[in-house]
Amino acid sequence: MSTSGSTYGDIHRYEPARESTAAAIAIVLLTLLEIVFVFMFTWGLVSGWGLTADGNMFLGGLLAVVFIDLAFILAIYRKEFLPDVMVVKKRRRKWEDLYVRGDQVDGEQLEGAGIWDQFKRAVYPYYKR
Amino acid sequence: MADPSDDDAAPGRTRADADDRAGASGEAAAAERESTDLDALREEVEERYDFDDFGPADMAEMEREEWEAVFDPDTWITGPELIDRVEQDLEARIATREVFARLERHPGPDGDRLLAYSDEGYAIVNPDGSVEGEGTVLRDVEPTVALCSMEQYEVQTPPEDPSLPDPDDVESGSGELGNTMLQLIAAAQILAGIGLVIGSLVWDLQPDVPQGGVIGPVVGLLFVAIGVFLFAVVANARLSDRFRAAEYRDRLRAVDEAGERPEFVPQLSDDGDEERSD
Repeated sequence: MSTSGSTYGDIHRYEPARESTAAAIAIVLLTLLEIVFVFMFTWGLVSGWGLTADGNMFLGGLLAVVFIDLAFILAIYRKEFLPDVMVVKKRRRKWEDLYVRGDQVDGEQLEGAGIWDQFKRAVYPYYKR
Repeated sequence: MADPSDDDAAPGRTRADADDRAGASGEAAAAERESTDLDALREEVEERYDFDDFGPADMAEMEREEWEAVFDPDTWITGPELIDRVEQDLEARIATREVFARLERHPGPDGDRLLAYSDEGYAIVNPDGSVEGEGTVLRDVEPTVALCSMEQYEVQTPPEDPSLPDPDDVESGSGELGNTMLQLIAAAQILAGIGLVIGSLVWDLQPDVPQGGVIGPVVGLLFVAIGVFLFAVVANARLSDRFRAAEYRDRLRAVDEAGERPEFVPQLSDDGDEERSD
């Protein structure tokens, strides 16, 4: 409930996280992979895998996989393991608030103006009407 | 314009006014003359405006009398049917938590009225399609009324128990598995990061480079930063979750304090209360 007379920030909807089984399995597996890859990269770099050309590429690939895996984990976490919360927010102005009506969306068409004329107007807005 | 909540053009009222006028005049001749006047005006208006391509600019140009002459109230659903549809649709929206409100139905002099209210606002839907009220509830109810007055709109079917949740049923602390996993990753990242930094200090990881290794410490610090970030994410999620659940519970209690309405909600009648209080 609002305390200051304003309703901004009032909780409109609070639904607990979905936590589907598939998401749970996926996040556990991805987490295990992530941990394995992180330690594999660390171990590899310290023990000098990167001193050969192939090993260097392998280490680079490991680092890339670490970050991509982390991205997927965060995506799943955000979608399935955070509650669905909707709060009251201030409505920002949209383009339709700027007095543009449905029948005016195309704006003013230049009557009989050739393509060269339109180009000149686009380049120089103060060109004589 | 498809806005039945607009007072000037309330669908039901137009017809009612016309009937009143005809009835009050009493004499058949006067009614006759009035209806021919109306017909003439209607023809004139239909000639002037192209209703197949009718825009807001035409709408603004029209006089109120012209509008009432050509307005066909049968185009819109009004009366008890509108109230039924709005009630059903609002119940469905409350059940899916799109609208935060309690809904009550009150008998009135000209048909049932709907009252939707929350802790900070209310909306009253009259059978003629007009809506009055204030706050976010009004904002949420208005589009529903507009939609339900159109025949093309299919009203959603509400579930068995279409009401706001019980405050005690709101549980915080969901998604703990996700938090645990993120903490595991964060711990692993920090450990590996520290290992990399120490390792690059102890051993010469890039013997070809005379200045010493730079990859090790940089990646190590990056891993530590990721770990700290993930811990912060989890801490924030837990804190805000607890806080928001408490706020939501408070708000639900404020709406539903022993079945009583907040003070600012107008008292339509009392029998609506017993019907729906749960």
